[in-house]
Amino acid sequence: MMRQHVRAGAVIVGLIVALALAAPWVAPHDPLARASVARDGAGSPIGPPFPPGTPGHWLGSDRFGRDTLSRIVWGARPTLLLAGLVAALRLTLGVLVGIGAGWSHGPAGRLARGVLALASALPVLLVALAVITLLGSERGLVVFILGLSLTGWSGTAHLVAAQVRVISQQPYIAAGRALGASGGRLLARHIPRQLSPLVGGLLAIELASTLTLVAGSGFLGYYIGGGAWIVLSGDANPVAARTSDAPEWGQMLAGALERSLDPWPLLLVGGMLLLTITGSNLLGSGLMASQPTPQLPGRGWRAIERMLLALAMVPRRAAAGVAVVTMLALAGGTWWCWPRPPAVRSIGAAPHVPGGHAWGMTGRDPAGSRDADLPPGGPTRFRSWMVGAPFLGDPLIAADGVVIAASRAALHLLDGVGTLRELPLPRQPIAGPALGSDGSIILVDRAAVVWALDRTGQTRWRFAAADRGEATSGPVVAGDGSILFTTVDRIQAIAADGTARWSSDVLDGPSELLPRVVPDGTLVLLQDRIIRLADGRSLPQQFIEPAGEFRDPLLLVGADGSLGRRVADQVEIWRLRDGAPVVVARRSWPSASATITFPTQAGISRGGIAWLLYGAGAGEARLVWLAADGSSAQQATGMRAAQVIAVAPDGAVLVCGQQRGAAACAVLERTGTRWREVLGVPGGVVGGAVAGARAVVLTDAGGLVVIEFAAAGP
Amino acid sequence: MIRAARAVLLIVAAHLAGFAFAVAAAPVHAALRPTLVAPPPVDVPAAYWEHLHTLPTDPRLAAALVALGHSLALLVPALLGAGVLGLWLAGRAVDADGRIAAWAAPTLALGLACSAVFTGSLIISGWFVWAVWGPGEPPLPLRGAGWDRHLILPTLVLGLRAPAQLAQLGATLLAREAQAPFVIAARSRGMPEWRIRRHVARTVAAPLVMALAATAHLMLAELVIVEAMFAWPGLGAMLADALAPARLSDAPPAAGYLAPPVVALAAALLVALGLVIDGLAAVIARRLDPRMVR
Repeated sequence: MMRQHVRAGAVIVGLIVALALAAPWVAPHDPLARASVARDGAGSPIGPPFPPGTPGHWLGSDRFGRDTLSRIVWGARPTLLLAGLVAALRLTLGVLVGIGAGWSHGPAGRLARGVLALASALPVLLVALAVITLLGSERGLVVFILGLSLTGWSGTAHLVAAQVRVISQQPYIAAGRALGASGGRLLARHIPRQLSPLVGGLLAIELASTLTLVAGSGFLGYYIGGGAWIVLSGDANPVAARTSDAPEWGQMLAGALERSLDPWPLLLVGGMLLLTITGSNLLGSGLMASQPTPQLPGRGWRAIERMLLALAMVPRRAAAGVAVVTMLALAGGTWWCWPRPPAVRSIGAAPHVPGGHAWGMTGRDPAGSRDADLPPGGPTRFRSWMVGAPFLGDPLIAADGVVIAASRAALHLLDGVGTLRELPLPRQPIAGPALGSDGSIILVDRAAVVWALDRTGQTRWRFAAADRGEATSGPVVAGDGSILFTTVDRIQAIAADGTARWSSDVLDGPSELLPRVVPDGTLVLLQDRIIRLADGRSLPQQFIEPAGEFRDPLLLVGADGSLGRRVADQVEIWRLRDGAPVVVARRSWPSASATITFPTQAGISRGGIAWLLYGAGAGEARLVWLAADGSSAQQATGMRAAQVIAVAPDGAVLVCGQQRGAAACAVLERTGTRWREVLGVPGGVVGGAVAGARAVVLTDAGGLVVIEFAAAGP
Repeated sequence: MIRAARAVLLIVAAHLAGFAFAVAAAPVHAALRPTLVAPPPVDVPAAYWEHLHTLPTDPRLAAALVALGHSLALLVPALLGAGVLGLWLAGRAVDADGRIAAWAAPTLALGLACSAVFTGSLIISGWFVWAVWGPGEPPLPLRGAGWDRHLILPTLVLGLRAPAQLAQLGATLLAREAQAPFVIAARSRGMPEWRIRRHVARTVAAPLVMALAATAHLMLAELVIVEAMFAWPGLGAMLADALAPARLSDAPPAAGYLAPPVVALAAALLVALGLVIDGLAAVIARRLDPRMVR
């Protein structure tokens, strides 16, 4: 009868292992992919959670649209890996401590009994959560394996110690001692052989205990890999819920409780866990009860015994050496795992403009850094032109020095000798143009049609997305030549030759902000979203704002390659750790009494100095600098409706705006004003660019001003 | 005396470890959650010393002791129920010749698989389904404390797995003892079956008491989950509040979240409870079986 139970247990465990191995072929979806819409049996669109029986999601989905079947199938892998490794580690520790506690009467035995008493006294879940917290659940499975194996083996150790105590009192052990066999020899020859029938059973019981413990940690909100924040509502103050990211059954079970009125996921995931634990219990208890103690050692046993005997004969000094090496390895491991403040690491080189242009798009480069080397001296000459229509966005400065600017009606090209050419545009662009890596001038119109022109005004290519809505931002050219722009609720990417790449609905609402591309070309930051450039998908882990508190977050890429985030009046430096954004530094200034609005522009200079421009409202715009050492500085610009045009590595800022109705510019440093001039053209400043010893400024009254500087300062 | 000193030392160590852990974990948690502000650095020895000085008058100590009472209110009936049911199951599973019944292995394996997270979730889900689609609110309350019907559901969930564990061990012990030479000899000499059972009971009593202690440890481990699930204001819920981060972005962390005194007190009291259980079990086992004194 017992054999039948062992067989049943083996079949259950075997089937689950097979399911884990076959996951890529069995699972219909990516277990982490979130579907926002599916169609029910009648073909009507429905939102998540999809009920069981939904076409394409036959076992339904969780409330984030993640397919339940795929998560269950893929979940078998981490579940079995985690439970198997933890069970094996616990068994090893339990058997070693148990043998020590049961066999030795000397200091080693006392130590083992003390360790055993400590391990039995400490609540297992508490120790596990403490280790997981201190080492960081974001480090993934390894931390959970360590945390769960550290205690919890005391049951096994007690059982083994009792068993060893019984064996040590057997007549054959006494006979062995009388014949002069050493303790090590007796231990190596008799104990493993007598304990071997227990191992299978204990392993299965440890497996069951680990699985329930992992479920408990998930219930308390400790998720493998740190879990994921998923936005539940798309309104102005989104509420996000933390949930398990890795599809592990124990943690999925904990998540299933959030849907009390929908017991399906609970029954499915809980059923799989119940089956696995029952199977391993059946297998384990059956093995423990039915396996006879090996009396006639086979070849394998002899080899193990020889190895153990050799170990027992190792001289004490060598044993001490092994102990020292083990302690060093443990200390090294602890040092490696110990939490330490993460260093602020640059993500690569400073952002560059594709095609080698001096100013390739609004914000200069794909990161929107506005980085420039401002000439040290003041302006030496102003040259201005007026065109018939308001300019849009920043002008461009091509690699050959030609200035290109777009107005509502035409494209304007200013060459090095001061000739301004005008190319009429067939349709009105929504914002400033960008330069493609091949020199094409790229424009986006309100109807989200993108077109590329050469300098004669000929159209090179034209792109109209199938699902286009109203465009809300101009083009940004990424390092790989891809062109990005936003429509009301989407971000679109097209290839350098004008063919479609992807279109992603990651936005919760309309955004007029430009996408910012991280210099290593992997990520796009848009407002507060982190998006993968490869496929337009949102990273599973994002920054989450507390609801009910308006902090207007904006993700930034510094000119030094660092990642920044402006929240309210602060700038945070963050980086990605295991796919999750982690804030590593915060810079703030005593803003409460000084401002009532949030900054309109922000950035980080090549020298690592964060800057904020408070340009909104009718009053005078102010600049604030936040240095890495915690110091801050502020300056009044003396202008209204001001804009930062360019920022030097030392934090000096070329800022332009309106001063008594006319356009004006100034270079402000943290310690004072370097120069300030009225430009002599009407209107408000809409953009500007800096290259070498000249700056170009555009106004909404159709004014184009070139400011020339002395090559060397005073 | 040495054992008592060691137990006190363990409790103090758990208290200090809980305190140090909460201090160390606070900045780690804050760094990982952008909405939390990192606390200022704490000098652990000084803060711990100060906490020890103010401990006698700290209202959190009184709260923790009240919580301990609430936890015992769940633990004691769950343990007693599990003990009785486990022993009854073990007795039923083994016949006079020491053969284990066919139903025992699968039933007990299934019982062992019923973790508190799963059974508790099922009961909560069933409660809501009953309340919404059934005849009305179920007769047993789901959340909150009270010395009445409130005790039933959490005690049930806490004690559901333990009888299986106890019965499994009890059945194995009974089966082994039923084939012991002294039983065969007694039976061959015509000793009545009830007297043989009494002898067998004496020999298996001590290991069963130790097994009951192990079961109590299992319950202590699950106390955190059961109390958090049913909002039972015991030590487990206190610890769960102190350790569990908020699940919703707009939910503020619980009042005692990573508060060093709360974590320290809950850890120390749980360890003390475990040591008391172990000590009691050892004393009783030795009274029952003098061979255990070694």
